[in-house]
Amino acid sequence: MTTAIELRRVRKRFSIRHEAARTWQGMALALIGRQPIHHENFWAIDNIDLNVDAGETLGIIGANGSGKTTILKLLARTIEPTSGMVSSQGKVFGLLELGAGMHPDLTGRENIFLNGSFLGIQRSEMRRLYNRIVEFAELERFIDTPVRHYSSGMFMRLGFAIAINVNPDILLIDEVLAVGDASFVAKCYEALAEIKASGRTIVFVSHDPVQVRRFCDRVLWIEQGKIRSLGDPRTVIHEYLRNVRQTTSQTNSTSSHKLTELGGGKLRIETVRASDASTGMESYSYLPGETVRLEFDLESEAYLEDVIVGCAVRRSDGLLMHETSTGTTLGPSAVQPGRTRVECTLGPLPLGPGSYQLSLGAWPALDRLQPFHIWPNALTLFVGKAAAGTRGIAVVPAQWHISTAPSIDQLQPNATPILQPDMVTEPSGPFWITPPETLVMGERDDEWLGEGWFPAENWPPNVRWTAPRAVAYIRQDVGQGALVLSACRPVHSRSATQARVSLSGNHIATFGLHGMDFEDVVIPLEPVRTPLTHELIIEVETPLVPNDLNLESDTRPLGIAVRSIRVE
Amino acid sequence: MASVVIKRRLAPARQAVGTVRDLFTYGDLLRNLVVRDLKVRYRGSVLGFGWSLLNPLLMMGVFTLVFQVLANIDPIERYPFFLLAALVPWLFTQHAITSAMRSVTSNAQLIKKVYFPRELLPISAILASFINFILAYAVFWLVAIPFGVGTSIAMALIPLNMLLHLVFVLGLGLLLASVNVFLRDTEHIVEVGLLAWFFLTPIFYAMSIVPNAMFLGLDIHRWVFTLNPMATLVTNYRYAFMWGFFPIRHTLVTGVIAIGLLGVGLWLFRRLSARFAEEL
Repeated sequence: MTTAIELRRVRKRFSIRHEAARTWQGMALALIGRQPIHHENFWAIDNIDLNVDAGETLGIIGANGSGKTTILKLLARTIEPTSGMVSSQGKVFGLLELGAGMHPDLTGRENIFLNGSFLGIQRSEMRRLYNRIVEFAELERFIDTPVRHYSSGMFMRLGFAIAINVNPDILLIDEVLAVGDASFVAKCYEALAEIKASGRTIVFVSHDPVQVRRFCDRVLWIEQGKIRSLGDPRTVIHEYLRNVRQTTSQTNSTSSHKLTELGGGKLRIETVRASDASTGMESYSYLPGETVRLEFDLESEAYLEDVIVGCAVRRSDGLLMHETSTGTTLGPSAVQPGRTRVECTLGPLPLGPGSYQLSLGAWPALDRLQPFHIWPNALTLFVGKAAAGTRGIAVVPAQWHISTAPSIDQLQPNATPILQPDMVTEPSGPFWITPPETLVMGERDDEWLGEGWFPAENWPPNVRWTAPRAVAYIRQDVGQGALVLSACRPVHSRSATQARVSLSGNHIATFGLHGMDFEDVVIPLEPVRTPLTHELIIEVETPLVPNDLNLESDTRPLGIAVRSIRVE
Repeated sequence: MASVVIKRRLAPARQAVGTVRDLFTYGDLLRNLVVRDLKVRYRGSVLGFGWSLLNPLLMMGVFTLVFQVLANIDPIERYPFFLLAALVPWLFTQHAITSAMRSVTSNAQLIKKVYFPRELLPISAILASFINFILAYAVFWLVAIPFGVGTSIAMALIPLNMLLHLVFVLGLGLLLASVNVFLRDTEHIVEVGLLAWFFLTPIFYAMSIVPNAMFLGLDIHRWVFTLNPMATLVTNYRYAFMWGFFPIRHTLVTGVIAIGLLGVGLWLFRRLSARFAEEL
């Protein structure tokens, strides 16, 4: 196999010049020797040997400032190595930045020809390629507009269209695919795959490890200008992400989101690890819909009662995507002195592509504001692109069905329930704000109601109907021992409505309702030592469908009508 | 398309031969850059190339008014032609040097992202100016003929003078363009320098008004005339245009200066251009 790119002991030194030395005073002082000119040198590339075979796709990863772009610039010949040798065989086209090689005052058409001549392509050849470029860039309407009026997406499209269609032997791409709409980016990857298939060499710098893993034959990880690792994409990226995770956790106190590590107490969270729930392999890059299993240790100095462990998932810009804790699922747990293993299965991840920081925390059930330990950005997970055709920040599994004629099912009165859009869903934040001890319907109720509640039409405003399964959040204070549910049946019926009540997953009572007058159902509760938030689930065993009785159009299966829930 | 093996080493010396070779390899690029400069120069203005004619005409109006009407200077016969014959070439020098000097810094984006021989930037800027100059000069010549100016056989030497002029400007342009990358003060110095140079060159006055006196032990007349290539060049244009003869002796001195300057300019540019991308 022939070598397309060869780097031999390449070093590149940059000097960081301090602006002060550039002033007249600085220069005058330097001239008379009163003040040395400060040049801080650093090796952007330090002794790199690299061979890239013709037809190979090489991905370059590394932190910002590690020298990725410098390598591309050396290959593109825009800078010269300080020592060593760079050789490349064939026509090189570098897509180093948006609008590189474009003159803002010239039109798209003129810029296409100008760019061709940078590559030494004959004018006649460019004329032949011209139509394909314009078509690929989807810029037919704007091709005679000066490119200074182009949007960044249009710039990228034009640049990429030229890069792909001039058939370079070596294509250098630096992170430019970050802009542009999803469909064009998809088109670019398709085109790149074609270029790759046609046996050309591609060097590709990206911050998206998933994309690099998919696309490259080999991956080069550089750190501080040196080769840290070079080889099989899976292995190198795995190592890289592991390293990123360690570095972020080491420097998390200076993290951009100003999440500071809290605590310093009797309990610490340590050694977190994420693995793919389906394979059990340690992994930090996922595709949407995959499930991640977190494992970490609690290191406790003493026996602690009522510990709650939680995990928050934030997008790289700090937006909270999800927060979960044992407080609403397992309830407070006791922790023995020494090491306790915690496992949390998250998923299937409904997250769109991007990187996400996971923060972990442990706090006493009594007081969330005095945590044992909060470990911000304990680890970073990368989520890659989902299947083509989906976009957005979240991935929601969707099932589509289109029928041209009404089916028999839809004509039957007892059809599958159709959820009404006005259904109350999603508690917006029940975990960190103290929930009420009395939950009156119509008052702040949607904050504390989970899934499965309907507004009750033609009923007083303080009444809600439940679906066959309804969730609510409520607080039990010290000294309280009963749950009182003011409820009745929503419609007349001969038989009684049976309902089960469970608290944080534990079944505590079953009751029956007979009439349409509200009655108080009193359910005894175990007393607690610290205030606790309960997830209350009401499951109706015999849901009612209103038109069972009188052929109304409403087909929602209803549970019970509720006026208030309170803890006494 | 045949693939080219490019082997590079940071050799301390780079040959000027390389530039000539690159000019052939990148002929199309040079052409495109020149076309680009010409297009961009007048893009957005209504008169376009008309400015290349109108600008010297307006300046001529100003100089005629100041030096032939307001100031007490011996009137010169056919002053408008006397002035234009030298002013149009001077405006070429001025524009070519300014645009060549800025060609590298104003194309920073290009230099950082794309490889091509960097010499092409100042060279194309100067060539664009040069084409503009030839066209403007031709128009003035055609206008002058009916007035009985520029009809002598010495006009045949004008193209030769233009070539010499181009070589001189290329050398100076390459020199200033490369220095300007590292010392941005160059632009400001050159701005003043050009103004001084304009007054020290016999453009709006005749050489004969310069006193033949001694100054600091030197003959001012000789000093200004011989060592200032622009003085020789504009005088050549003017003499051929107005009086039909060509002062050969000074032209030879200017030729030596121009070729020497081109050599130095190319050498320095080649040497410094390796670091352009980092500096910009």
